[in-house]
Amino acid sequence: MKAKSKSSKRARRSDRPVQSSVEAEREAPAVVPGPEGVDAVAQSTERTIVLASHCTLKDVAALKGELCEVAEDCCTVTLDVRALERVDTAAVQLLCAFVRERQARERAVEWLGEPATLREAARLLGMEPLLALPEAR
Amino acid sequence: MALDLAQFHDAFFDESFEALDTMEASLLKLNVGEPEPELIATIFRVAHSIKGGSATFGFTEVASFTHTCETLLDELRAARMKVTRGITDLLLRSVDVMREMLRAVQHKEPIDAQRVADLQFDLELAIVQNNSAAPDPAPSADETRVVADSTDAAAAPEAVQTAHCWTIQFKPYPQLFAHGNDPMRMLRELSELGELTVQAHAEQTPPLAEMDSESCYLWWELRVQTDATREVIDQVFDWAEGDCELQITDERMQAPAASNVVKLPLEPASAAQPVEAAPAEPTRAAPAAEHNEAPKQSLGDGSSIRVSTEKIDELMNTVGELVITQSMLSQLGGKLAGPVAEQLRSGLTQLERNVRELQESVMRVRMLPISFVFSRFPRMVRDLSQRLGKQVELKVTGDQTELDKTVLEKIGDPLVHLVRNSVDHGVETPQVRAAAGKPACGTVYLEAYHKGGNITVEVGDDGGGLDKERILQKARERGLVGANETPPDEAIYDLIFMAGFSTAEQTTDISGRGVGMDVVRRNIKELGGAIEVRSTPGRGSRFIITLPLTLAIVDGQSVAVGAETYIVPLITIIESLQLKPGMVNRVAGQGEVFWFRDGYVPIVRLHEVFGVKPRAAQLHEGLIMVVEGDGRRVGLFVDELLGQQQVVIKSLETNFRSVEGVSGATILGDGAVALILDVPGLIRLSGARAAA
Repeated sequence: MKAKSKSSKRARRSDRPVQSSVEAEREAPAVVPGPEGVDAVAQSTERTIVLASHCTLKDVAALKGELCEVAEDCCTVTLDVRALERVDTAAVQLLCAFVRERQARERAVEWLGEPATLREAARLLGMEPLLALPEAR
Repeated sequence: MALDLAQFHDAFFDESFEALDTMEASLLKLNVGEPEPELIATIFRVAHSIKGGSATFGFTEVASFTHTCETLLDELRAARMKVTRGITDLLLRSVDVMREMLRAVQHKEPIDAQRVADLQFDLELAIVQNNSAAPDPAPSADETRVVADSTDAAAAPEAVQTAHCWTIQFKPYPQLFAHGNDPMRMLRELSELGELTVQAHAEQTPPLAEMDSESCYLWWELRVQTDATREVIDQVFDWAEGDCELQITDERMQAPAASNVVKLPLEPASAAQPVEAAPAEPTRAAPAAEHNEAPKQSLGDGSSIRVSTEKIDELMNTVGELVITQSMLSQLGGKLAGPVAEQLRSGLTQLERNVRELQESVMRVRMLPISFVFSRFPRMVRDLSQRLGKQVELKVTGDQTELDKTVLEKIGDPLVHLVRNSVDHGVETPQVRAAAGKPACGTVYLEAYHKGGNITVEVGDDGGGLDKERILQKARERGLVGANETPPDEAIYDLIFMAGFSTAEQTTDISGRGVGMDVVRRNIKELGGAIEVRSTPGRGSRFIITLPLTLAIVDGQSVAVGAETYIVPLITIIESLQLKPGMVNRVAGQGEVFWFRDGYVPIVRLHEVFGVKPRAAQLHEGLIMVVEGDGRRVGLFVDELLGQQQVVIKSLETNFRSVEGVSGATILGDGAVALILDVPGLIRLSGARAAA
């Protein structure tokens, strides 16, 4: 996961299959190649929101504030989930609401780091499709 | 909002201790060789939920230990491991350790790490030994888990063989998160029970800016294919009770039975969802009928809420006050005349009835089945008999008999003492029993039943009975009984309740120090109860305890002394009579006595004890009430008898201070305070006065 997180934001695309990233991690821990022939279009402006290691009920109010600030931004919003270790239903609910809001405005949400924790939580809650995580796209 | 998980600690500890009791009881019921899957599932659930809870609250040591327990139980559940006596013992010891760990965590005390580590090692050893003994390559705990899961998942055609297919509609109320519940935990638990299909509904989530991030807007439709019973499914949602709307149905059951639908009503608005009411009409949706039936269904499902005893005591107190106000109004109503007064009186009669019903309902809330106390004995008898090398079977009857919580709490220790005595002194060793022509396995009885407004609890055994000769010999040695005197059997047996009286030749760590039986009797007396012993040589002995149903209300006889009213507990009264002049004798050191039935009874003039000016100064002008306490009788001299009534006891110690000879006070219909007499205390008091 660490190796993955070292990859640049531009070098990854959300539709990259997770499996390949896992393989990449195993075989070449230092460098993760971007998907063949496709490089992410450089955004003129980008907003990144870093999710802390614990993203649970006591943190959601603060996170909501941050998400609201960027919800209407035209630029791509990147959610940095590299540090995320623990997430609960309240946080998943909030992230789903954010993704839905962005989708309604046809604005992009990118994920930085492999969102395994989030994916597992969303899968358990039956909310994986709502989050539009890389694998699900 | 910072969520303080500490506020849920108490509930967690309460529930965990209860769950451990259940686990212990189930372990004791477990048949070695052919265990019942239901019991194993129950035991597994306990370990599982304690593990989950302690992990949530960060009690890592508890979580780690219960995890090992759970792994072993999972082996038992999957029938990969056999239930042996050794395994049951190991798990019973684990229950003890979990209990101690939780207690230590609860009181912020250090955990006995060595003991925990030792037992954890034993548990792991048992798992490893079993796995290496098994013909299949030994899987590690984690792999085992995977195997179990893959069996569930891969065996799609076999899935039909699972006993149930539960469909669950789980609609949390907005406050669910704030109350410390995370649906993820519940879904994870469900997924561990079998194959889980989840359909989440997020349609009700408002736009991001408008949403309260700490409220839950989601709801789920779930489907679990599992062997788990309804009870197990219910337990997953235990913590969310009151914070969600829950409908659980078994798809396998063609006609959805009413009992398969549970609603946890909290918000009237959301509770107005259709409820399947009767199996015959599953689609019926008449709102009026639903409202009537909803509570019945919740009762049927055993849904309950946890209420602190303080709140119930408060309620009890308020009802007590209401009883007093009501009787005050009734007295007042009786004095009025005219047509309106008649209406008032009929209203008051209605009020009286309602108040009485209310009082009974509140009393019932305080009642708990005696099984709360009895449940500790199977384990105790098992452990004791093992240590003593005896074979003892415990037979419990009437464990659903209900008693007031306060009485229950105080009766535990005396019963432990009696049961321990029965196993230690009562039941003989198998050799002695065989020689006496009895089956090698002895029996200890524990019975509870209602008898004349009281509860009787009997502890008995089919052992050798009390040794009358030895008791008598000891009593003679100690000068309690004269050398040539032979008291009746009852009186001899009664000697065992004397302080420091023991006939045991050697004391053990279990019993025989002669400390205890006197404490047992004192404790029971303090509860307003009595204990007697019956014994047949060679056939066993029985201890019969009589207890009042409650300590909050007493049946009393009100008596007048001068301008004061006193309440004498009915249970202590033997007879009331009027003395004729000449029936009274004066005895040196005892004051006035009179002949009653078969002996002289001292007279206690209540007005003298309490310093009240009496209306009747001569004994033949008033009445004598013969009362008994601590095995002694006295005649209480009072002015007149007023009437019998149930009175609500108010503690004098709480409201004033403890007064000798008085056990409490009550407020009468006219608002006056009447003291409730403590007859044994009064007898002691009058004895001291006479001696002075």
